[in-house]
Amino acid sequence: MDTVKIIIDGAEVAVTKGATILEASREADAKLFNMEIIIPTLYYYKGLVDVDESGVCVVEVAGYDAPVNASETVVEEGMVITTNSPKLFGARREALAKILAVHHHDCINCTRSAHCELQELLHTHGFKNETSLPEDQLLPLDYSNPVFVRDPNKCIRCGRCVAACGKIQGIGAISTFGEGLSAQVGPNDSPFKCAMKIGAVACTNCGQCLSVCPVGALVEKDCTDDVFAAIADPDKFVVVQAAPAVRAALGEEFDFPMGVDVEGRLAAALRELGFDKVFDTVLSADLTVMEESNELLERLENGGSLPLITSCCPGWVKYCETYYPDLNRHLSSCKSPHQMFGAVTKSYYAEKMGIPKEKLVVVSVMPCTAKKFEITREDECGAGVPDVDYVVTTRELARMLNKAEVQLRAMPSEAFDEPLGLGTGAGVIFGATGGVMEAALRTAVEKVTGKPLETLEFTDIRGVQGIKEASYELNGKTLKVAVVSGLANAKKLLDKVRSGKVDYQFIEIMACPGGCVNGGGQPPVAAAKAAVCDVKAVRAEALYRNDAGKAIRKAHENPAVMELYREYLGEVGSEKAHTLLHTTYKVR
Amino acid sequence: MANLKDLGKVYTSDILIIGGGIAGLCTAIKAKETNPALDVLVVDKGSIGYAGQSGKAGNGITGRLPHQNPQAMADYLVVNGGDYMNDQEFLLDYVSTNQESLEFLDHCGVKLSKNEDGSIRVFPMPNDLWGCAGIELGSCFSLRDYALKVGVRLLDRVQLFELLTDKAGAVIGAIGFDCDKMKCQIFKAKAVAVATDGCYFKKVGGMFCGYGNGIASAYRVGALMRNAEFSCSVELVHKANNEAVYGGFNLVHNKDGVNVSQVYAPNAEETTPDLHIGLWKEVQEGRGPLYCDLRVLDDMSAHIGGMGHVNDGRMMADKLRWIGIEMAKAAQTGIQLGQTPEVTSRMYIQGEFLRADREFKTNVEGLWAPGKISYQGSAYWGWVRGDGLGNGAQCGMRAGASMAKFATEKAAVEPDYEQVKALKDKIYAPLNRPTTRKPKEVFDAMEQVVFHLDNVIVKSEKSIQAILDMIEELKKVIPELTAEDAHTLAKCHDAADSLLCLEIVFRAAQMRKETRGCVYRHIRTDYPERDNKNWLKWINVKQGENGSMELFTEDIPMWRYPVRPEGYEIPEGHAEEYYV
Repeated sequence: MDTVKIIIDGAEVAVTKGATILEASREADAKLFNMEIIIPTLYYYKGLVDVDESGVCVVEVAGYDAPVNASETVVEEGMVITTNSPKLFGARREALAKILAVHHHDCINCTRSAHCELQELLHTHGFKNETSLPEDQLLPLDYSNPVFVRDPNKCIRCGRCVAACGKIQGIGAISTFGEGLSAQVGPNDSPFKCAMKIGAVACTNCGQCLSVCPVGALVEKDCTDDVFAAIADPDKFVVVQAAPAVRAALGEEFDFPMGVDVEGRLAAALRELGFDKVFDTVLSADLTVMEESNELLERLENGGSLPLITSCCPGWVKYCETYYPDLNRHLSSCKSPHQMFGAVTKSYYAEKMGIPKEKLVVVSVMPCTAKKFEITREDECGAGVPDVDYVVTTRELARMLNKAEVQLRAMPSEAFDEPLGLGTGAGVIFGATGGVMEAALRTAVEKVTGKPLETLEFTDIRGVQGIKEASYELNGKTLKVAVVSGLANAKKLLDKVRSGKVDYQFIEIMACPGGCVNGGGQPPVAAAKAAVCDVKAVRAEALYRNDAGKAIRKAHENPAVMELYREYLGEVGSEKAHTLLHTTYKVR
Repeated sequence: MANLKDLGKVYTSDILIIGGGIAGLCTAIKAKETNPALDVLVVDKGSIGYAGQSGKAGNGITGRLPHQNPQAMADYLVVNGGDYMNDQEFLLDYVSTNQESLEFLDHCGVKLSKNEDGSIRVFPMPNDLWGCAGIELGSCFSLRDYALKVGVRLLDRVQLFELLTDKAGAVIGAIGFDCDKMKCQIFKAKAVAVATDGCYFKKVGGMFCGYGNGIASAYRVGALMRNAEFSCSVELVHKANNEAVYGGFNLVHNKDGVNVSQVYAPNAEETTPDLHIGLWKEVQEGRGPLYCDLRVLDDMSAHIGGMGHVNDGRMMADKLRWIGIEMAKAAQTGIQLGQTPEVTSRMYIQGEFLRADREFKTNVEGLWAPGKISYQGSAYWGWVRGDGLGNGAQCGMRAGASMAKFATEKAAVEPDYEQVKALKDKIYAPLNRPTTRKPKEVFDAMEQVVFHLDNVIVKSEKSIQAILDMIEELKKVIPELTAEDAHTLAKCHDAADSLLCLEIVFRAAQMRKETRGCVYRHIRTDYPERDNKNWLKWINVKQGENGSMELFTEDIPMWRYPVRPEGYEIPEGHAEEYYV
C-alpha cells in the first residue's frame, strides 16, 4: 500500500496515501504506542457521513493560517499537523456555541444524557450555565411514527439519520430541507419540499436512524413506566423474556467493554427489577427452528413457494409487505420468536400454572424498535389475547435498571427461570446475521439425514458481509441458501429473486446490518467507537462464544421444547402449533 | 429466627474487596483468574474506574531494565528511602517483581509505553537503579473493563465502615450503607480485602481521598499498624488551585528572583521537608511570594514533569489531555497557571500504616490489605516515583492469588445476627442523637490545629502532647456527632476514623525519641539526631484488650539484613545471619 509520511503532534508516522487527516490520525493513533491522537467529530459517522461540517473536526496544518477540516483534507507527504492547541480549542468552542444556540439542551430530561456526543464535547470544552432555548421558540415534538419520537429542537443537522435510511437501508424515507443549522429533516416525498410529520413515510421501523443519532433528537416511544406499573400491580403476573442479542450489548450501557456476554447478570438484574418470572426468548427461538425447518422441509417436499424466506424480523416483514408484496407468499408463516413466546406463555404456561391469561403480562426486552410495531399487528394473538403486551428496547431496559438502581455490574451470574428459560446455543445465535439459518440447518440437516452433524458450525454463513450464500448437500439434493442483512442488500437480492435470476431454496433476511446485535434498539455507539471497531462483528462474537459454551446446541434437543410439544402442542406443525405460532401477511 | 435480610440488603460472594482503585481491581482480577469459579465482588463508595488515586497519578510506573539489579535498588532504598526502617527481606522480594507487575497490567489491557516490537518500554531513572514505564492515566478504566470481561462483580456507591468477624476473630464480611439511599448493606465473604487507600484527613485533597475507614475498621478487629510515625510530609503546590507542581521542587524562586530551592536543598531528587522548612523561612523573613519558574527545566524536573520523555515512553496523549482539561478549566474558572505560577507548601499526613506480610495479608485471619493502605506498614517504607501505581499492581497480584487460595479452601461462615445488628446500630447511631454537633467541627479542628509546619513536620514532646490533648478533646465530640442524611452520616464515621488514625500517628511519633527518615522524615527538635543504638526498632500499634491503644516496639532484625548503619553491632541474644 502506498504511504506518505506526515508529522502529527510532533511524531513522524507513515500513513495511507489518499487518506483524510481524520483517517490518518486514527492510523497514526494505532501505530504510535506512546501517543493517543484524537480529533473530535460530531457529524462524522463511518459509512454514513464522511465530511464533518460541524466545525469541531478541525486541525492546524503548517502553512495554513486557518484551521482546516480534518475529515475533508487529504494528507500530503511531509504535512505537519497539530490536533490540539489553544487556537483549535477556540475554534471548536466557537463551532459548538453555534450548534448549542439551536439545540434544546434539555439534558435533565433527555434519555441520551451521558451517552450524548454533543454533551461530551461541551463538557470537554468548558461549557457551563448556557441559557436554553426559550420555551416559545420550541417546535412541537413529532409523535407520528408508531415506534419513535422526533424532537426537532434537539436535531443538530448532522445528516446521519438521513444517510442511515438512504445509504444503509436503501429506503430513503427522510431527507434534509434547507441549509446548515436552519435545515429541517422530514419525509422525502414531501410535495412541498419542506419538513412534514415523519409518520407520512413508509417506514419499516427498523430504528437504524435512532441508533446513529448523536443526540436525543430521535428516541423510541418509551413504555418503561407502563412496565413498572405492571410490576407494581399485585393483580398482574408479569413475565419477562430477553432476546438473544440483548445479552451481547446491554453491558455497553453500563460501561462493560463491547462484546461481553452478560447473560447471567441479565437474568439476575431482571429478577432484581421485580418480574415474577424471568424467561429467555432463546427458548422460543428454538421453537421457531422447529416450526420453520419443518416448513422448509415440507415446502421442499410438497412444492410450496420457494425460496422460503425467514420472518423473524418485523422490520424486514413490513418492508416486504410494503415494497415486495408479491413475495409475501415466500415468507415463512412462523411468528417471530418473541411472539411465539408470548403465545406459549399465555396458553401452555398459563394453563400449567393455573394463571388466567388476562392476568398475565408478557414483556419483551428486544434489541429492536420494529418489535414495538409488531405486537400491534393483526394475527399476533395466538391465545386470543395479545401475545406480547410491552416491548422495551435494550436501551429502555438500561434506563429501567438505572431508575431502579440495579447495578448490572454488581449482579452475580444467575440462570433464567424454568421451564421457559431454557434455551440452546442454536437459539442464542439468532441474534447475529446467519444465525437463524445456521440454527435451522443444524436441525433440518439432522432431520433429513438422520445422522448427527460432525461440526455444528456453518462458517460459510457466519460473518458480517451484507450478502452471503452457500449450498449444502442434503441426501443427494443441493440446498442453496442466502443470508442477507441490511435492507439495501435485501433489495438487491429480492430483485434477482423476483426476476428469477437466482434459485435459492432458503433465504434469511434481517433488516439491520449484521442482524439483531446491531438492531435499532441496541445501545447507541458513538462515532469515535464505530470508526475503529466493527460493532456488529464484536457483538456477534459474544453470541458465538455463548453458543460454543452451551451444553445443548441444537434446537431439537432442547428438553423444554420437547416437553412443550409432548405436553401441549403435539406434533411439530400441528394445528395447535399453527394457531399459536404462525401468522399471516398483508399488502401494505 | 432473626434473619440478616431483616437488617439490610445482603450480598454474598467468596471474595469481597473493599475499594475499587488500581489495587482493588488488580486483586479482584488476579483472584478471579486464579480460580474462575470464585465469586469476586468489588465495592467502592465512588464510581469504579474513576475511584482511587491512580487516575490522578503522574503517568509513570516503576519497572526494571534487564541490567538493573533488584538488590542494588533495595539497598539504595534502605538508605535513601527507609533510613533502615525497612523489612529488607520483604523489600528485596517486592522490588524483584516490579517488572512482573508491569506485565500483569499489560495482560489486563492497561496501556503502557511500548517499544517498536510491542514489548513494554522501560526507561532508566537518573540513578539507573530502576526504571519507569509510561502508563495511561485511565488505567482503572482498562482494569475495570478487564475485570468485567473475566466476570468480576463491581458495586458502586456503597461505603463500608465495619468488618464482620466469626467467633475466632476471622473476618467474614463487612457492613455499611449505600451513599444515595442510606440503606444498610451487609456483605458476606470468605476472604475480605481492605483496598481502601490510607487516611489523608481531608486536608490533602486532589488525588488522595481516603478517610481511614479501612485502617480503622481493621484496627477494630485487631490488625497491627507499623511505621505510623513516618507519615508526615510536605508537597509543593500551586497557590491558585492547591494542586501539586509536578517536578517543580528544584525551581522555586523568591520575590528577588533567587532560586531558593538551590539554597536549601540543592539538586534534590525528591521534594523534602528540608526544602519546605527553608521556604517557610523565606516567607517569614519577607521574601515572599514564592513562585516556580517553569520556563527552563532542569533534568530532574523535566523527568518528573514528564516533558523530558515525550518520545521516550511517557504518554504524550495524557499530557495532551491534561492540556485540554486545563484549557477547559481555565475557560470556566479564569485561573491560568502560566509558566511562573505562585507556589506554596501543603503539609500532609498520609496514614498508610496497616501492617501486611508478603502476600499483603494482615495479622487477622481472612483480612488482606493491598494497595496504599499498607504502603508503610509492609516492607516498603520510603517513596519511589511511579511506585504508587506499581504498588497497586504488585499488591493485587500477591493478595489476589493468596485470597483465591484461601477462599477456595475455606467454607463460608454465617455472620452472627447479634454482631451485625450491633454494628448496624453503631453505624446509624448519629441519626438518632439529641445533640447537634457536626463532623465538620472535628475536621476543622484537625486541619486548623494540626496542619502547620511546626506541628506536622517539626515536632517536639511539647507540640506532640498538645496535639494528643486536642485529640482527647475531639474524641469526646465523636459520640455527640449527629447526621441527617447519607453524606453527613458517612462524614461522622470518616471524622471518627480519621481522628483514630491521627492518634496512631502522633502516639507513635511521641514514642520515637529520635530524628529519622527521608521524604517522610520524623523530625524531633528535642531529639535532633538519628539514634541507631536505641531506635533500630519498629513501633507497632494495636487495639488493646480493653479498647485502649497499645504501642510496643519490635527489634528490626538487622542481623538478617545486608544493609546496616555504620557502627552497627548485633545485639546480645542474636547471631549474624546474613553474612555467613
